[in-house]
Amino acid sequence: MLGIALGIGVLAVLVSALLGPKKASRAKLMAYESGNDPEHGGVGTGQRFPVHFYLVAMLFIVFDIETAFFFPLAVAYQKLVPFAFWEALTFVGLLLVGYYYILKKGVLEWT
Amino acid sequence: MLTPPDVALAPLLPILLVLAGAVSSTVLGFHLPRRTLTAINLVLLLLSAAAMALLWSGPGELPATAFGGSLRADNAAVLLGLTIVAGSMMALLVSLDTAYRARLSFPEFDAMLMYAVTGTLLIAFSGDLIVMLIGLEVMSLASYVLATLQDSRRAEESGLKYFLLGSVGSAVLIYGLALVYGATGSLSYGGIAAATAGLTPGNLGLLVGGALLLLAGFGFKVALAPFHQWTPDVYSGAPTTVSLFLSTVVKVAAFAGMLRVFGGALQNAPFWASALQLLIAATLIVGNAASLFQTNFKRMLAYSAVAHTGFLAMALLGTPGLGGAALGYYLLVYTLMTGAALAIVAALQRTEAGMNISDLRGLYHRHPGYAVALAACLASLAGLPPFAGFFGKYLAFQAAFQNGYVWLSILAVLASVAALVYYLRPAMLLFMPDRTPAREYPHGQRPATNLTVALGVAAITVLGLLPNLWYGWLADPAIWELLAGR
Repeated sequence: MLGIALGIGVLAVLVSALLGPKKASRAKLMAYESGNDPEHGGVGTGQRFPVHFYLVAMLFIVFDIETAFFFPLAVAYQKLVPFAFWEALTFVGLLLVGYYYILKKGVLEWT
Repeated sequence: MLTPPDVALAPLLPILLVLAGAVSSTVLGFHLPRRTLTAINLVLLLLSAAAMALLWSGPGELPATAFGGSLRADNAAVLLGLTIVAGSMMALLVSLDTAYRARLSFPEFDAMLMYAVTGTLLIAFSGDLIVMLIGLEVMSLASYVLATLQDSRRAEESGLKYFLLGSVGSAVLIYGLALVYGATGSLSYGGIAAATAGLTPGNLGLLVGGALLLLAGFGFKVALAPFHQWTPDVYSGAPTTVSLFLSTVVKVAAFAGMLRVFGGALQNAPFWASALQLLIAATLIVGNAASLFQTNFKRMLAYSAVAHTGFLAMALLGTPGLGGAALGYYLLVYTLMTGAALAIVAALQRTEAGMNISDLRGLYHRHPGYAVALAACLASLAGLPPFAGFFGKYLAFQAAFQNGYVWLSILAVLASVAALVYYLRPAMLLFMPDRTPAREYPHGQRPATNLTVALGVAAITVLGLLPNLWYGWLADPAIWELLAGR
């Protein structure tokens, strides 16, 4: 079982490395800094970059944590029926308050 | 086997009411003016206080609990919670008059203040270390935002210092919490208290280490001496309304946590009391000595808050029964007198940096009411007899003295004599003749601030003359001996 799992993983990487077309471009060769150019105007080069980057990152974390909470809840749901429902509803309700707030504050408006 | 926890609404209600205020300020802030929000929040705080008063358990009654004892609405929680609500209402009332001038008049101010109060109540009502930690973090995160909310360099500096040192404090505290859990195998206060008796030497070492780290973490939060460095900068850099909140409510909550952890869970654990007495001695010396040399009145009050941390923490050295009652009494008195003094600063200051002590000269001839009230607050802070501050100090010293901390009590008495100098110098200046033009902010009706100051001064006078009005509720040692539950 483990062998098959490992094999598939290794095979996928190998096959794409051997057979895949290789077209290098500037963006592909850049060091990976979450979409920021590390050399020309990125983080730490003393140039301006949009503060939206952080806001989006923080929003991502908030909703990421939400899913991280929901997976264990979904697993245990059957055993905790009335309690888990209200608990999840409270949690989502409080999260919605935050969502409404950022929506009204215009955090989600690009440009 | 999974079992749903028991959810009881009654012990949760005071906290939920405050949380409702926070959430409604967040959501309705886009539609309603801030004064309306503040009015709503004041009403919700009053309702929360009423809900707490209803939770009072008479003799023989068991306190209401929820979540399997993680949330305990015992009498100690009710008394500490009422103190917290009193301080929060003072901060909100003062903000009605001064927030606009301090460029703080956003709905976020109300929302963050109420979130912080939610956290403080969670600490007071906590029945295990995790709930205490969550409350502490909710309170701290909201307080960092409050300190930074004003758009100014000073507030930024204040908020950043508070955030960095506060996070270090939290980290140390969490480490200590983990060690205590490792040593005792329990997170609930009752479980820890029960487990401390029969520990192996190895586990005892862990417990002592954990207790000392918890002490250091709480030391950061309440500003005990080697960990107090942030206090003067944060309190004097933040807008005065926020300083009022931080130096009263947040400190009361941190002391509530200390009382729960050290007076309850770790009451039989060795060694932390010896470490605490050294911290207190250092706090008394540093706080009082530094206050002597301040020229800015707000900064002097910040150092006086550090000095008072030392006096307050002495109550923790008493036996749980006596020390808890002393701390409960002193915390309310401290909240009222510091709140009233900072409310006067907020009303009269020209800039958010507060006024210089020399600017207070002749205040009596310009604002007689404020001058008399401020003199009363200063006398109470100094611990002069007709006011409640005297009785608070007396109880705290007595608690430590009776439990064998004689040298510390002597040091504390000497420190409060030295404190007379820096409290009475501004009090004297208030009544000196002065013909120079007024140095106060000249404009504005301040009905809400006047109400706060009047109530605060009336309360410290009445509680000084008739201490049993509040102490009578606290005096039962059973309240404080059951901090950890059974």
